[in-house]
Amino acid sequence: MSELLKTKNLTCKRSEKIIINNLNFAIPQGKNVEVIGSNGSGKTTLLRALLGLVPETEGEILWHGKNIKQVENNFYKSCFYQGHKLGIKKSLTVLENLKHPNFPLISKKEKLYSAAKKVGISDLMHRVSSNLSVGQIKRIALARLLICDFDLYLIDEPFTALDNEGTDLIQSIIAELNNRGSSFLVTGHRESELISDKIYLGDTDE
Amino acid sequence: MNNRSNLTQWMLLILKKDLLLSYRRAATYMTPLIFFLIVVTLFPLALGPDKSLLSTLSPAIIWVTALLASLLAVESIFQEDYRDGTLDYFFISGEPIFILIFIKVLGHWMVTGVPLLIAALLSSLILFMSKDIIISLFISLFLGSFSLSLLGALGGALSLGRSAILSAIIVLPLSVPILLLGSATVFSAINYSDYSVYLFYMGAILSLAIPGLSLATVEAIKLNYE
Repeated sequence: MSELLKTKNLTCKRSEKIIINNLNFAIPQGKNVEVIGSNGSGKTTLLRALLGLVPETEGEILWHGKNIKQVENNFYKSCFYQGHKLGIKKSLTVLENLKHPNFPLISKKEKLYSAAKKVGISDLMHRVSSNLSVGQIKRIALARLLICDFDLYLIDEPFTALDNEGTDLIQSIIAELNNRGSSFLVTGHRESELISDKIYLGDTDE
Repeated sequence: MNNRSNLTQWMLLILKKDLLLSYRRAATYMTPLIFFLIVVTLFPLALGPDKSLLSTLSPAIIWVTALLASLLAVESIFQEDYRDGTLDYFFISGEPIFILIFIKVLGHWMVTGVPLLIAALLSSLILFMSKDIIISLFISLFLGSFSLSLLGALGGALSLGRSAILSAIIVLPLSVPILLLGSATVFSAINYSDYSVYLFYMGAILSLAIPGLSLATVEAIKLNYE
């Protein structure tokens, strides 16, 4: 099975302090990797370092076997990132937020409604997002996963602020996208039931 | 990604989204506009109804007020996008970021600069400005307000996550050449002298500011990621 992304001795620093030290892992196509660690263990830093958003990064990141710096454009166009900040505009409706995602994407209305239906927010499409709960906002972000088709999804703490139903939902979405050949790198405080390779950073909660 | 849009389509999407957001939050364009109208109206009240005095001072009044009003909107350019993570997506889009930033500034100018432009034309009536001068005022404000928006974007980027007054301190000294050229254009028109040279300079500043300040703004935003 081909490896989508691979790190070799990845080291990340924040204000001279080493956050991640010599990390080696690979994400095969269609498979998942889960990064587990407590607050401040470097989960978010790792995701942002892979995306080139952490300046103090050493080691090598390979995308389809090539150094990421050589294929940066191809990597960015194949990769979806969702951080703690979801980029959901509070003054826009659910439909408008899906219509105007933060990445270059044009989707038909039917596709947006179908994605919203799958995550259980189709009846909220015309509701302004500021009137929604944190869980419902998170579901808008989940619907965004379904309207696009990337090779690799980097999602920071997708299971946080979701009830059991929401957790099951995201696992089924990941499974659906895995079947399409997409891979996931997700983070969390504790192990989820997601079928994935696990990476432990720092002192974990479990 | 099979349904990925091209750069032009994405630029239009960003512009449309920003205009929609501004429409939903009227304060974005109403605050500078109301400030401008109030300040301009205060001058005839303070100076009295002396037509020639008001007409003589009108270029300076309109230009200084337009400059101060544009500062009020500087903070709103990137602050929300920075807070909610939208700016992150620009940096990982694989598209030229300075073009995306320019589109954001264009959207900002459309909701803050254009209303000011219209308000300035209306104010010229209150200040007894001659009709012959209005064209010079319009062109100079058109060129100048866009340059001020680009400068404001740089100030807004440098002061991300900090006090709004910081962006004003950064932008004000840099906007002096635009203020001087803008008011000189209108004063020349009042004195029936050729003002085209000032407009050429303002056009040149804008031509340099579009790529230069867009690139500088990208670098200023990057500072917040380090």
